Amino acid sequence: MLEQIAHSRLVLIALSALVVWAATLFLLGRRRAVVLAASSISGGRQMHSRPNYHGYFAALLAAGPAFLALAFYALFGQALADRIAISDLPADFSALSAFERAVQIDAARALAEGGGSGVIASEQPPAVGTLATAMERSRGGAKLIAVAVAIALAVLGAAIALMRIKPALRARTMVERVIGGLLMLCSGVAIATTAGIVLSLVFETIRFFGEVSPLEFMFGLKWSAQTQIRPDQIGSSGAFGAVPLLFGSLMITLIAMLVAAPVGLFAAIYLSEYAGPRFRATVKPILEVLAGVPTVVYGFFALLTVAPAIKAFGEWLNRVLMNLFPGVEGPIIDAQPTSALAAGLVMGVMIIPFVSSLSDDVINAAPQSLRDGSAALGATRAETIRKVILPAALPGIVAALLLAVSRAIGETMIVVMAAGQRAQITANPFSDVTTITVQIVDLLTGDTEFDSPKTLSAFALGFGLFLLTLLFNVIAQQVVKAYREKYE
Amino acid sequence: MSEPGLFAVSKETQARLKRRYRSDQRFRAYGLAAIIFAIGALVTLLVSIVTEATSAFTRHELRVELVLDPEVADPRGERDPEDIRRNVSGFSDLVRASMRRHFPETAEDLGLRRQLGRMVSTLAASPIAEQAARDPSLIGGSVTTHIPVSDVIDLYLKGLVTRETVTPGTRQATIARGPTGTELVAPGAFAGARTFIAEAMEQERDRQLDAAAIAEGAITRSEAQKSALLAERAALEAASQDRVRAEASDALVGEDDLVRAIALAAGSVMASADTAALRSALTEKIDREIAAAQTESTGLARKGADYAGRADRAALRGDPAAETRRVQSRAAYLAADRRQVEATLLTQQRDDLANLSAEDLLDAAGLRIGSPMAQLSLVASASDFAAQLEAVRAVNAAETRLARALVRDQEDRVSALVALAARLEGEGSTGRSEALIADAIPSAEVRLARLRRDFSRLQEIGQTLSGFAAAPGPAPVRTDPPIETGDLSLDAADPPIEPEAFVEVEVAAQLGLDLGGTVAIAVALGRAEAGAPGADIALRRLLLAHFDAEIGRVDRDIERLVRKRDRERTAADTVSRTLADPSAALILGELWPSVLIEVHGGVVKVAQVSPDRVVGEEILPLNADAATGDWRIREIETPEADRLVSDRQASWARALQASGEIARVANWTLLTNADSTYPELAGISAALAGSLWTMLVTLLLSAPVGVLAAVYLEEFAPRNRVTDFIEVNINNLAAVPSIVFGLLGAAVFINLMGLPRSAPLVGGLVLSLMTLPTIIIATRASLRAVPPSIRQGALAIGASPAQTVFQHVLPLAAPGILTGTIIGMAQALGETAPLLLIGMVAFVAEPPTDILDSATALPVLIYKWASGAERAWQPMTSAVIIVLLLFMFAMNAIAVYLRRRLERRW
Repeated sequence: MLEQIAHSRLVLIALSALVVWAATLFLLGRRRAVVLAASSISGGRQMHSRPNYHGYFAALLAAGPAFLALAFYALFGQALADRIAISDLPADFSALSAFERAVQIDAARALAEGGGSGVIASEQPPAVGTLATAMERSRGGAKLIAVAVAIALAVLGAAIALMRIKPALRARTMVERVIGGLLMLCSGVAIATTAGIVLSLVFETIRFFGEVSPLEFMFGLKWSAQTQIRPDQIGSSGAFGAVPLLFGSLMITLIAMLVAAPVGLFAAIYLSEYAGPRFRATVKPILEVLAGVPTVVYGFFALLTVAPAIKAFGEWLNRVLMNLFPGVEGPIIDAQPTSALAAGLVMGVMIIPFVSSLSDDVINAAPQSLRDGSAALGATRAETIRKVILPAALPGIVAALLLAVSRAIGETMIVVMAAGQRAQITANPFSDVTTITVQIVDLLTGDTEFDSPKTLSAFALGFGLFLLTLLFNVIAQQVVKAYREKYE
Repeated sequence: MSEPGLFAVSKETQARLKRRYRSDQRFRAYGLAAIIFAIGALVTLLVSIVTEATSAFTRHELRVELVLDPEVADPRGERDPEDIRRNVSGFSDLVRASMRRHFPETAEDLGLRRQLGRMVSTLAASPIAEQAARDPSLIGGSVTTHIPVSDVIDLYLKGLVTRETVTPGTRQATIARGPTGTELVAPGAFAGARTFIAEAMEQERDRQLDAAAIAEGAITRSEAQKSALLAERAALEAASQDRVRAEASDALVGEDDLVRAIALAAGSVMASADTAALRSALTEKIDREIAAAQTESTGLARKGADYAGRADRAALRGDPAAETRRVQSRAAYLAADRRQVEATLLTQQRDDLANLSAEDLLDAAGLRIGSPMAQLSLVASASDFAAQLEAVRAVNAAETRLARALVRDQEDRVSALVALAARLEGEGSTGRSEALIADAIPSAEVRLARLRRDFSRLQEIGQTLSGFAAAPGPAPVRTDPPIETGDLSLDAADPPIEPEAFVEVEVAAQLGLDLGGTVAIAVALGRAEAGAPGADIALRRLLLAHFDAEIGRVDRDIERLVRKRDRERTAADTVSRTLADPSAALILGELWPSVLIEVHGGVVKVAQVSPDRVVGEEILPLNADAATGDWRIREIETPEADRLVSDRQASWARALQASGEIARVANWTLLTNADSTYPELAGISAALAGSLWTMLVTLLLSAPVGVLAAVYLEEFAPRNRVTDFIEVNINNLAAVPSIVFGLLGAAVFINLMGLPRSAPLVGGLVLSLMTLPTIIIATRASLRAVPPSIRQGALAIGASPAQTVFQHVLPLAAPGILTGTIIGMAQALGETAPLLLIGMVAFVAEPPTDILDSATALPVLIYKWASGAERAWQPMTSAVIIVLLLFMFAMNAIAVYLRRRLERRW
């Protein structure tokens, strides 16, 4: 009985019933308020709130607490029920080592979730089966209790609400207070997200540093986390020196910025200082299309078009150089099918609109009086821009570039598809390099276990990435803020 | 009246002005160039993707008339729909049979039949099987249907495999069938074809000459390397003792620290019987291995449990992946159990270390680093036969001991495995126990047998060696209990053994044993440092032998390179000689481009071409009745060996195309099919459904939360630290890399909260967290744009703050909010990286039906297809990109339209 309840959709049914119940209570409360209001016209006391608010009040009181009870069950109910089942484990478990117990509990949980269809129960020790049944029973029980509590709360809330509906009831104030709380809760999601990111990354990173020394991670020059576990292999911990990855990220970012910074800046200058309104209105949206193209499309473009072209160019350059310096051994430029240059160039194209629209904003924010003053002195437009506008807008432009750098470092798909997998430190832009983001994707795609240093290292990398981009963002935002205040 | 000269400017000023204006023009040009570059990049991107995609919008289909032979279609004859549905291979046979009817000449030749069969998609028959299953009465009759051709044929017909030129024959050709093939004669008509081949040959000759030059360069380098090695060797010969030792420890750089320590300590044990260092090095090494084995074992067992759970869940859903998961689970458990046994054995060995004698310790060291603790240096330094014999004997003894230790170790392993299997059986884990019995134990036993054979072979050699006269005493083989070696007796008719030759062979074999290895050097160095007599000489000899081996290797390299250089040169010469005569016949092979001549309804594949005649093989039989009439020369640029479409397949495909059997149709299956391993059958429906489910979750979560949060921040929140903090937070979240959100999803939603991997629910959660800042920022901006007078008006007539906001401000801000939300959704639709981290890359063959199903998304599909090996994935990927871009452009267009339509200026 309890087992069947454990697998039923009881909570879902209860939730739908709750919606109906809330609607009913709304109508009932409203009706009662309307009746009261009618009597108030005939000489009774003036209603404080409009009937609708009484309806909302009744619905909230009837469905709110019950909903919270169900939500609590949905979030924590199963875990609690499992803990109860585990707390009076079958005797066989006490003899096991802590780890084996954990494994068996995992297995039991899987069985309990799978409905105990006995598919692989035969491959598990019988104790697991017993535990799974116990879990199912206690889950069923917990579900039953949760639904019962919810029903009780709903009925109780409805009764209280209907009893409290009087002309003097400040229904609107109460409803609005609840709405205010809800609004606050929603804006708290942003904080919760940041906290979730920081906590989860820090937590996993600390676990990682329990297995790999932070010094090795921060200063090690060798990265090979993808060591496979073969049955007869000894010591497969791999090497976790993150320097080559950071190098790869920075190298590709540098190439990208070499493209995006001049192009974006000059485009912004042209658009804000030279272009007419029609040209501007046509070109700006086109540039913004570049920002709207999904990064995976850029990645495919890099792979399909740019990387082969770069490779061919590298090979041609190599031939030219080999002919110029006949004595040199081996290839001077070792062109690879995927390369830092290809990924960097395409990434540069991707962040052009970023640089240009941010710089456009700051250049436009420079007061017109500066331009007029410069023109009055007889400066050409180029001179005005170079000697007056740009120095004035410099902090804002620096901030724009910093934001672009932070975006380039965190960009994933282009480098995953076009930069390669080899962790190496090289000055050759035609060679393949790997980046922090590539390795994170590499380590976490496919089947992952959450205990190996391999998986944990991805979180350590992610934490480093988060800190790095956060640093750039915060600096940039401060600069922008200071700059805005200066001219506002 | 102005004074003359007031406006007259000096020459310098004029020049400067000109310069300044030029500089202004230049500046302007830079700006324009930047914009042109950016737009050019966008255009290149779109054009390259669209051109690539166009070929995926159509595909080639073959019309087949299937005679549904009951024997093949339903061999059991029960007309059971399930049976028929599963009999895809039977229907494939029927498809192939119907193709053979077009080309009867292929019936006899298995190779040709295979080539013909490969022209259609591998799973092409399954819809036909499905059709027959629904209507079993079809069996016995015949059906006409269309099936997709295989991806390579499709690409060939679209002209994406190779460049191909077709020229009509210019003169009347006469045809003769001879013993060497079919001959076509038409004076001067084949000059073009011959030139075509000659050009390819010239290119090939250039390549050969290049290759010869590269080989030449490599030879020079190898020779330089060799003379450097010779010089080093000479220097070593004359070097001082200390220098030799330093050289030896240089050679050890890069070797694993513990292995080196063990080898060095072993060397000193041989010299001085001080066992403490070796004991501690061994203990440390074994400890490390135990730790590794235990970590791996626990990790693998956890993995096994995890897979078992997934298998169960999959089985409940009826997902065929369950079987794979189960196999994975079994494999993980098996590996875990093996590592467990390993850890047990190692623990035992470590505990035994304390009681071992010096000799036993050496055995243990050998076992640990997988190399006999022999003094190979002695062998290297022995000069006369007696010394050699003695040294070889000692090494043989060490090897024999190592072999014995290996056998013992393996015996322990086998019995430990058997014990573990029994224990697991007792605990009820029959699956794991069976896996051990079926897999681990037999393979361990096979290895044991091999080790026993090795041991007995070494023992035989030892016996032979001890039989030689110069032996000073019996070889130090201890009297351990005998090892069961099976029947390995030597052939009685063996010729008598020559001691000198035998010892020489042994010296060579033993030196070869570990000459390149650093273990031998480390052992010798250890001995030398412990001050063993003669050890320094031995070390020097060993290092010299090391050099000799290296030099020998370089010599072999040089020989190989010289052979390669000569081969390439000869080949190039041959080509040059052939091409010298413009009228000579050229012989075609599969390394050259193909020339096919279509005549008389058949095709001749040219094997020999001269300006006036060609000789070749009929790969499609000529129809003798037809008039000589039209004929055509088809030149295929890529050599047959370098493409996946053979000349025959090309001719068949062209013939079928000419007769209308193969037709180009719109590729609707790209939209209606789900993912497949075969590009010609793959489609986007599952990914599209996954994307839509994910977007639904994202919209339902992020839109209300985002709007409410923005309303709070803009309309209600007091200006204080908390509000400021929230604002900074939101701005930062907008700039956090998307992959970090993926990490958050993996750690919190999947690992902590236990939500299913690959589910649209998790994808939607992650994407809504990402989209939230965008929506909040857009909503705040449009709330700010509502003029205060509206709020004041509402408040003035007695509305509460909440009524003011929800009934007056929010409706007026709605267009802006809507636009912001749509743009946020468009961003989320194109996001890939976070979805990769939460497992939405799974192969999904069925569109998901709810938010907990396994799913994938359009951008992820792009990522997956882009890494597909076959050429055909590229147009497919581009086509998906176009679909995705269309969706995004549509969303953005709606946003722009709404903004234009609903926006109110105050």
